[in-house]
Amino acid sequence: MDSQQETQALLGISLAIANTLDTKAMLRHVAMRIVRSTDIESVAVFQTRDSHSELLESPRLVLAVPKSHRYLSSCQRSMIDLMEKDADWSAEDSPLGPLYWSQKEFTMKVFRLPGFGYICLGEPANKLSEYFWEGFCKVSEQLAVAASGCYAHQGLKLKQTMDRVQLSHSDLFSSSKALNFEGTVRSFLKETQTLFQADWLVFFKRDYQGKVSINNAIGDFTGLSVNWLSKLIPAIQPELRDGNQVLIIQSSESDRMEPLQATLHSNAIETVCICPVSNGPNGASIGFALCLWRSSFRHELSDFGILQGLGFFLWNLLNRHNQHRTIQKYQAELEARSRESEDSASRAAEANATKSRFVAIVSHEVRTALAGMLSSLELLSDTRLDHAQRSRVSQMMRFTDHVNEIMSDVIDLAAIEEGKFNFFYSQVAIREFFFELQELLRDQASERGNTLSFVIDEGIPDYVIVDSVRTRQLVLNLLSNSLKVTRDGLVTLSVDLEPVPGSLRESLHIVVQDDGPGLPENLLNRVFQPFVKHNFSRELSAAGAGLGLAIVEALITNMGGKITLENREPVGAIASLWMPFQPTEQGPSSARVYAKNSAPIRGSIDLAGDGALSGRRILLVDDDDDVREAAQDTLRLIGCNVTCARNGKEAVQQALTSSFDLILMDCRMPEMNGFDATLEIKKRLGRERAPVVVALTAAVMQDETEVCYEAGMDDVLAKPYSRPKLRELLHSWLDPE
Amino acid sequence: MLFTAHGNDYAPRDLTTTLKTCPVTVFGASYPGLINKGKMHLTGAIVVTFDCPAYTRVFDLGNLEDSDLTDKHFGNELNQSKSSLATIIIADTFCVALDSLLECFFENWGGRSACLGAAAGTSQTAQQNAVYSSDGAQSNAAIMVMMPTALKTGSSHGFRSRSRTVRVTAARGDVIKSLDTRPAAEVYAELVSEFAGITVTEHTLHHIAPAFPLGVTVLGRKPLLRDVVAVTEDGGLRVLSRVEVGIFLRVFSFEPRDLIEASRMNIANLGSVRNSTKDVGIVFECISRREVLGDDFEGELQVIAEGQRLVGGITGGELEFSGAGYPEFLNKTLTIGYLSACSPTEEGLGG
Repeated sequence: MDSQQETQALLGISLAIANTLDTKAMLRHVAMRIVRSTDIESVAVFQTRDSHSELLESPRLVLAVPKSHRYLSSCQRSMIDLMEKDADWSAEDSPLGPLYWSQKEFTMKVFRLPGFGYICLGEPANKLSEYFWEGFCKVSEQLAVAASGCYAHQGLKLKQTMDRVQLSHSDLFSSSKALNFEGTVRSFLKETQTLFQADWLVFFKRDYQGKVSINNAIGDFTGLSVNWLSKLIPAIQPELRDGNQVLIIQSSESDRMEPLQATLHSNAIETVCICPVSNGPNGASIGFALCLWRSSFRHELSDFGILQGLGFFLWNLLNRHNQHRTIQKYQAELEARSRESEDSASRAAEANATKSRFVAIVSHEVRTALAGMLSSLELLSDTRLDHAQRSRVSQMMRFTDHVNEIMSDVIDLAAIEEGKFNFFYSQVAIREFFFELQELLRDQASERGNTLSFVIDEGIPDYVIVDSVRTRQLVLNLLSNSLKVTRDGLVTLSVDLEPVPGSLRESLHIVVQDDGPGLPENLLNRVFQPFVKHNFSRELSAAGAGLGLAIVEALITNMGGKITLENREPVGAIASLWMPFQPTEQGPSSARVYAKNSAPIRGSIDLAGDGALSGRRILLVDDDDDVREAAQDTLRLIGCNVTCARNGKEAVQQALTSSFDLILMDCRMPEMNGFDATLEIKKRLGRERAPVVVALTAAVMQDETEVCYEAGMDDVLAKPYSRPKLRELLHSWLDPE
Repeated sequence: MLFTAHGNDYAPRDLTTTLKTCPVTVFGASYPGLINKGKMHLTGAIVVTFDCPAYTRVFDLGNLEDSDLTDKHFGNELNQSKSSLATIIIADTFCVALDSLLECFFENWGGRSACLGAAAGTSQTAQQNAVYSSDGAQSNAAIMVMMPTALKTGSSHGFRSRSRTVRVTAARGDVIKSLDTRPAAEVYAELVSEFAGITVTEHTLHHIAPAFPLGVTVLGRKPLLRDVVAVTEDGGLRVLSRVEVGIFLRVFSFEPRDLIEASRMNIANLGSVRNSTKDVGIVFECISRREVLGDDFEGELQVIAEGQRLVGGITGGELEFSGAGYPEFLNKTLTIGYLSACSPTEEGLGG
């Protein structure tokens, strides 16, 4: 044989090494080059060491070219003999060189691939020279290095791919709204099956008794009979007793238990891999994944670790699934409770709305009756009465006022609770505002021998933007309380500027001090709660239903302010109110107007006839005969020329046919209500020609007041109204100067 | 087994109908010429009948898979047979996947079955339905036939070389891009010039190359010849069959008498080992041998006539595999196979 040609052939083989990182593909490429460039007819490669260069129990066939290698079985047997009997040759430190053995039919040459295994070459003609075989020793060294490298790389690549598959399914499982456990496991098994080129991969889950049956299997076992699987599972069970290590059983192995072998043979299964599904070698197994091949196990030994990871991943998935189910259960309970709570809230809201409607209706009826009573009492007091009779009438009028105040408080509280409370801000001349309050309370103070003192800080701006009506209500409430509990003492109101505590918001800091008995300690914390009555003071206890301070606190809180109430040494109480406001630089031309459509307060007016109102034509509209008659008498007494109507329809007719200076219009009436009648009158006569329309309403919930203005009414007079209040209103519209 | 001459100009539809309605398993091909009793015929047909079952499988070479050639596709009877196996592979000359087919064959049947085969079809550029089976006539296909009978094979070409050796340093498929890291066409021209004193140019390549094939060295065997068929745009050489990087090549040439002598030796050697005088010999003669031999081709035919019961065809490529080594696709080669228990018949062979 030409040594040059042999050198060229060896070089060609050498150049074919490491053309790819796939171990089998690389070895196959080299084997094909060998058989195509020499008269070597067959090549077989055996692996004897794993990726850590540890010796395997028996050589594993990695490659046979051709697959129909006619001496392959002899070759395999010889390899086993070689490893068992010729330990010296297989040792790493033995000299390199081929080991020959010949049988009748063929000559086989074996070369060691250090750190990997052996390569067996069949050359029947025996034409190749010693020179070639020596050269091939060197080639085999290169091949060994390349094969070991490819093997390590391949293991890493498989692991990376498996990691990717696990990660993607973990994400899939987490991102799925319903956490589709079975779907995820099926998909995962399918991809893993493809990765390991297995014919079947099925996950068997243990039931609560720890048993495994085909009923608890997930995966595609099409092509495997249920009967066969039913036989296989018990045959596998004993193998799992040893622990949680991955087991690979080849049906051709002689030392494995026979029943399992027989079962495998019966369905032409060559290899079984059992991966316990557990959280580690010492954890309890919750099932196992069964991997079946019709051929020998084609993978590397390092893949065992990856298969172990497969079991752990399934365990993790199942664990997460169980946790999710628990969470779902709690969530369902929580949702049920939440629904119950919502239902309760809904029922409460409904009850509250019913209560508000009840309050509105009752207040309307009570106020209507009170209006009649007040008018009648006022008319009675105008008649000739002796001292005792006049005293009784006065007493009855005070009781009427008291009932009216309670009704007002109840309505306010209902509005606050319902969240229907709105504020109407306007520009107010604040010094004049307080001056008028002081004038208003002067008589009340003197009745109990009290001195009422107002101290307004010079730094207070002349004009501020506040809700004048509510501010007046708040301050009056505090002052009124102090005046009621104090006898022969001093009640002081001081106003300066101070931010609302806990914020930087500028406010009117209004402080009311008195020399009264102060508040009992046990009430200090509850004083702003509704219906908490101050029974230490007979006057105060009798004066209300315990709603005043609750309303004050609710109002000021809604305005963004704050109120505190405390005792002061040695006697008395201090109420501090922080009322937020918007400063304004310049006031209106008339500082007397401080609320929408509200008439200015003029103080006390005589009960006798009023020249300014004399002869003024008033249309009085009310369906209640008693109320209408009482009001008619009052208006006549004032000096007005009164025409009556019993409902809206009559009112429209009267307004269109006669001329009036002002219409006092009840709101709720049969046939046509006050709102529609007002709209009709304003529409028919035009806004310029139409007389002033003032609503007379016992329904003074805030949203109803709004409806009055929306219907075109110019003002609202709440029932019951006193004669001075009526006169005051008439003056404000008919004699504004 | 059916051999027909391209000159018959069969209507494809009639041919397919005839093949489909044939009461026995039929396989074969159309060739540029037929060989019978030492003569070449440009028209006519030869039918060879076998007493044993023939398992045939036609491959669409556009979609060949390794598993197509495994045992399961050739019947249990064949797989369990203890007797020798003979394989005949006939493929369309224009198929580009012949190398893949041979690789699959070797992987699955190497060492178990001897093989004889040819690339059939026309020598013209137009592809035709050249491959015959009981399904009809097909193009771009190959038929593989397996029979439980003995097959003795032999091949020869007679080309020689004394040129220097060059290494393939870049190649893709059937194109050698570089030899010794230089453009392959340039190196080839240089080798021919050194070897024969002939200047090869792009324009003369077509005429000169048939006489100077490239040869691949295989230790312990005859060198494999690869016809150079064209120069590519980037200075590469297109050759018949796949060439891999790392192999060594030389330029070969011939003397007519060497070619004829090689054929004589081949036929004589094989005739001495055949089992029975009743065996039928099948011969495949590369069409390029006829081209390069010219008038001396008659001498080659005379040699073939000396062989016993040799019938066959002129081919575009040949295949011969004794069961050992690797079944390479051959060029410029005369291949012979003796099959046991078969008898030829003749039909309308003309001159």
